[in-house]
Amino acid sequence: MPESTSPLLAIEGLGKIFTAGQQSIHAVQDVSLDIHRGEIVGIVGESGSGKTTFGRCVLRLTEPSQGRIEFDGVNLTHLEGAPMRNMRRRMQMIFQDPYASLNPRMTVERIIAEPLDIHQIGTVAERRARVGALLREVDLPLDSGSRYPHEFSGGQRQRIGIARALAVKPDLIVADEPVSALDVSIQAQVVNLLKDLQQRYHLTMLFISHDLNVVNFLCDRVLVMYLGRVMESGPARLISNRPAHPYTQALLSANPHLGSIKRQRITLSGDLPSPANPPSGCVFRTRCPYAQSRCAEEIPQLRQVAGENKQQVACHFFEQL
Amino acid sequence: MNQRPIVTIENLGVSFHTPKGPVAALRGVDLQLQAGKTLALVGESGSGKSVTSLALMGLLPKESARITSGRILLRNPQTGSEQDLALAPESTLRTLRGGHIAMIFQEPMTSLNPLYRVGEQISETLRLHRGLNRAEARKRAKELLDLVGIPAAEKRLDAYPHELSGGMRQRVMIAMAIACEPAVLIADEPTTALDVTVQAQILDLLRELQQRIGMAMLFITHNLGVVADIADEVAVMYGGRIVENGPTATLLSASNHPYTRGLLCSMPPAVIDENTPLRLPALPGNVVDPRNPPPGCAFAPRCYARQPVCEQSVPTLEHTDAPNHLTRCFRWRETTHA
Repeated sequence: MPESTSPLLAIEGLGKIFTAGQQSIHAVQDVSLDIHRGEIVGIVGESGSGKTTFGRCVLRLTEPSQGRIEFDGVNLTHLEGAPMRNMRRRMQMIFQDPYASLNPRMTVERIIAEPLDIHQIGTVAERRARVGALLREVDLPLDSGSRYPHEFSGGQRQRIGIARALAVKPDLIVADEPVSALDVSIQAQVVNLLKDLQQRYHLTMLFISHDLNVVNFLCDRVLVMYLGRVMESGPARLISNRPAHPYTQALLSANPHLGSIKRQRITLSGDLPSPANPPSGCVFRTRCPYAQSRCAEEIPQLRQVAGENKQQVACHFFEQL
Repeated sequence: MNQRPIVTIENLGVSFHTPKGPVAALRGVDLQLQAGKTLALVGESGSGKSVTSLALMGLLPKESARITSGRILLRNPQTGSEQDLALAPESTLRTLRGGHIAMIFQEPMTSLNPLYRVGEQISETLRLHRGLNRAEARKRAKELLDLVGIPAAEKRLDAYPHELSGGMRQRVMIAMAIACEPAVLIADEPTTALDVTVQAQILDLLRELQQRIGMAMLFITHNLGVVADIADEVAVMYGGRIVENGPTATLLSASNHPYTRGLLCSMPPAVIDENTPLRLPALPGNVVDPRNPPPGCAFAPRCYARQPVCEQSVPTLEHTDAPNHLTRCFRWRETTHA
């Protein structure tokens, strides 16, 4: 992809603070990210990492507290009313739970056509034809339109959710854990489907997941988040082969995979700290096997890995590890 | 030479009563659990893996489930005598549960009572099965919390479950389960709801405890990566039957059942490089619907190697050339090197 073209999505210094009574929680802090057309970017992290909040902030389903979101050259940060609705059409979301995200009282045809209705695209006949084409696109039986969500398996429901997201021909799709609730064999089918659709339509996607293997396989680029901050970012190939941040290394090593029979691994001690009361300095330091006094005092900034201009790491000491 | 198993499940059949007639969840399951060893039971939804564990625990819902065939033999490690849990009355099962056989679940809150302090819940098991008095039980409960790696154990005894993190709750549930040093521990997806870094801690803990107590472990999971990490032996279930069974290394690297191989290929690779394929070689179709199983091999509709015979009759679980390796496929000889 040519580097000169401007990114479809440019996010700068995004932050989200939730307040509950006296407490304020920094769910996302200072996340910057550019996504170019046709790219799939993955966000990976454990619970409390802020990955879902980040995804919702991008679409402004959750209002960000800080930072700037630019979509196709338009600043979304304070956009309201019809202009925002217009932009929303170009950004769609796929959710984790294919049981909760489909209205059980609507037929599949109405579910898939709903975004077309909302954005008043096409005539009734055109919408119906579009639904038929979408069902083919996601490999669902053509008679699915007249049926209800409960008649479908989990994997098929996720396909319905994908068809709905594609209905308005969006430029950007934000997919939040779309395969996490599926059986292994079905997960592979849906991952393949997303990959096919991306290639066919040059789709741009922000793919959020806790599963590092799925993210590395599907995505061109990966951001690793921990307690609201980006620890490392880079091409999937580098993240999976040469992770530079101790947290990414620990994640990879903890991630059970087939080669892991009787292997040594870096086991992180303890749980994630509470996001309401994050550690000073580097948020990862309380679980980091290499933490030093500087880590408590100074927040590490993302720095380039020498010789890998696309890999960035937020660690004071990664060169020495 | 293997010693005699602690648990021998033979030809176990379980069916559920539904408004549309009986549905067979298990169709003749054979399994053996050895002391000090971990058997992973792997399968997707509807395969029957959880029903197998509930049957072993004597926890099948009385109103709707029925054991239709087979035996569940539990050997008493002290006396060597065996009893059939499929026939045992509820009073016997109650004595065995928590004492001889214990179970941990995916969601710790299903086995922890939110209204009682953690210490009281562990003590209850000890007082019931071991006849300890209040003070002894509390002392032992504290030791157990230490053992499962809960910091400040003395203080945590007085915590309520909601005050603990997910990983800590899982540790409390494990402490309860091992309180009476059970001969058999059933772990039903115990790490599925946890973050991977916490999952790694819990797997390490279970391994350590097994070495200490020598219990047999039945580890139920859908994650083959976890299997590689924890199991000595693997049984793969599909459509209410075991379709392949053998040592972990054999199953993961030299499986000859098309379903197991399909599952393995469905997992995204851990390392991405220029040889990584663009698409995963995914299995086609859906997991089998127990209400409407195909007549022959349950996997036949999704199988690349199927022949007419596969759609007509059910293959038996037969020995392959590898030691202790069984497979249920008419065509395993041809698919071995496919």
